[in-house]
Amino acid sequence: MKRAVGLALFIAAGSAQADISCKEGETPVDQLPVAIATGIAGATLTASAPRSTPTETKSGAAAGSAASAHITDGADFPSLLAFAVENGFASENAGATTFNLNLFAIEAFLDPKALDDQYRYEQYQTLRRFGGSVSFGGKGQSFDRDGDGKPDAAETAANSSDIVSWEFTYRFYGSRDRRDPQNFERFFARSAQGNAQLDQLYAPTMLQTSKSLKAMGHDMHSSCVTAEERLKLASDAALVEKYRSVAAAADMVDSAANEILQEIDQGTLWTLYINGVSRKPQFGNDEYGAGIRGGWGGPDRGLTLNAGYRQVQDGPAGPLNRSAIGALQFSQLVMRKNALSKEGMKLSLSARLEKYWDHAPVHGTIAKLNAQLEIPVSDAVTIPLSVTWANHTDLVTGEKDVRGNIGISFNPSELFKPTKL
Amino acid sequence: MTICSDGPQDLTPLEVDCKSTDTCTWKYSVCMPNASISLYLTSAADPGHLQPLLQNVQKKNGDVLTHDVIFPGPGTYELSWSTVTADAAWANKVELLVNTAVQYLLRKSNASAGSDALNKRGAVMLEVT
Repeated sequence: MKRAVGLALFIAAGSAQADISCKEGETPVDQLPVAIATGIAGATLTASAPRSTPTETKSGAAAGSAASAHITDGADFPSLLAFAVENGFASENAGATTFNLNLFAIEAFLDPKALDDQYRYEQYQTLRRFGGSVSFGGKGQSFDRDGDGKPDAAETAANSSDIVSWEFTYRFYGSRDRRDPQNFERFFARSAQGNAQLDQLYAPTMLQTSKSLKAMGHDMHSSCVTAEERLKLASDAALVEKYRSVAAAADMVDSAANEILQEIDQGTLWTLYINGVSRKPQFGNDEYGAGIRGGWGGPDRGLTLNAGYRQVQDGPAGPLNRSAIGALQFSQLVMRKNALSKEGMKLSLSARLEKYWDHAPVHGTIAKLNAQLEIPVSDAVTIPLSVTWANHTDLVTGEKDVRGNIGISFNPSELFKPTKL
Repeated sequence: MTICSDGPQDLTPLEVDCKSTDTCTWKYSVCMPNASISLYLTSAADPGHLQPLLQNVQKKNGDVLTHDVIFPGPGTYELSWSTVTADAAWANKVELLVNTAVQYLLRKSNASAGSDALNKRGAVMLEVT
């Protein structure tokens, strides 16, 4: 209940009925610049959807409800599990129960003010860098269990301790949270000039509007402009020019804000991780790993990197299989505003290198490079052109024509496939 | 209930009258994690010149920013304000009090109809005698 009350503040911010309330056919005075400059009637103005932070970069706080069970209502495991699932700390998928170990989410649940009060929220910036999860159950590995030389189907864990997976992460660089000071201060700094310019245009325009309406005999107790008054205002060429300037500046402020927010939402992130899976013998091997993940991007490009070390324990007394994996993926929109598509074509380049020590599965070293170009031929149809190189022929998979270590796919028949309407 | 949603209904005259001896208080309630707020006074005698009363004042959720407006003398003025916020969900409540009586009250939020940049702005004409 406490949490629901706390969150209400933000929910209310998004749904409050807040506007100059006018009758049909009237235009709120504060929307006149756009309404007259664009010829849109006041009644048809709709809220412009604000760009929201991507879900995965939000605080990670769990969603609660007024009807939620309280943690002290029941202390037995099924009750605690139901409580955790209900409050977003746990999820169940394919027979595995995953618990969210996001420390800030737990803090925010216990004390909703940590989420709602921005001063407190900023104090937990370091805590929000730590994340993690632990899963119980799920499906094991497929391997030769009966010694007949053929892999047997993977078994599903019967007990929660049969398979335990965990991961801890530490984001040591970057933030995509708009509420973190480095991000909102960057937003303020970058948007200051455009907003100041709009302010300079807005005030004299609204003053001129009010004076003109007063001169027309407008009821000055109301901020709603009738259709007749609007027509009169629209006949003042100098005022219409001011409305156009304000509307254009407002459009630029909104566009610039979206651009800056997109930069924040795709900003650079570097995260360290350690993870592991502990399986009982009939479900497969134990695995442990550690590494680094990075990602950054912009409105038309993105880069992700993953480099890590992994070791697999081949049975309780078996040998260790150690490997290192490095992967890189880069995507860029190219040939923007071409004849086929305004958005351009997406070019993706990826590289993967795996090095195995001890007992390599098949190859000691695996190297793969892939380039893919998505060629849009209509809004609904894209023809991919893909080229893959690998250091071993059997690793060139997923391509139509394979010659030696190189595979190519280009399927123009996509053009003739029926499209969904 | 928040500091932006509570209180009386919106009151949005196009013009507020006051005497130069009155205390005219502009009050801004912040219902968004972070806001950068500006307030200007423009005289009808010199509409091209905006006098900044508050410039890029940073406030946080739950804060209330108030400013007593001092007029240089009788005349027609425009009080205008603007908000910059990086947050998708935002709401505010702007009031103008003359001798503590609310003469203007407007609530806005990201759910308001029209341009977001214009919804984060507001203006009211003041006839000062």
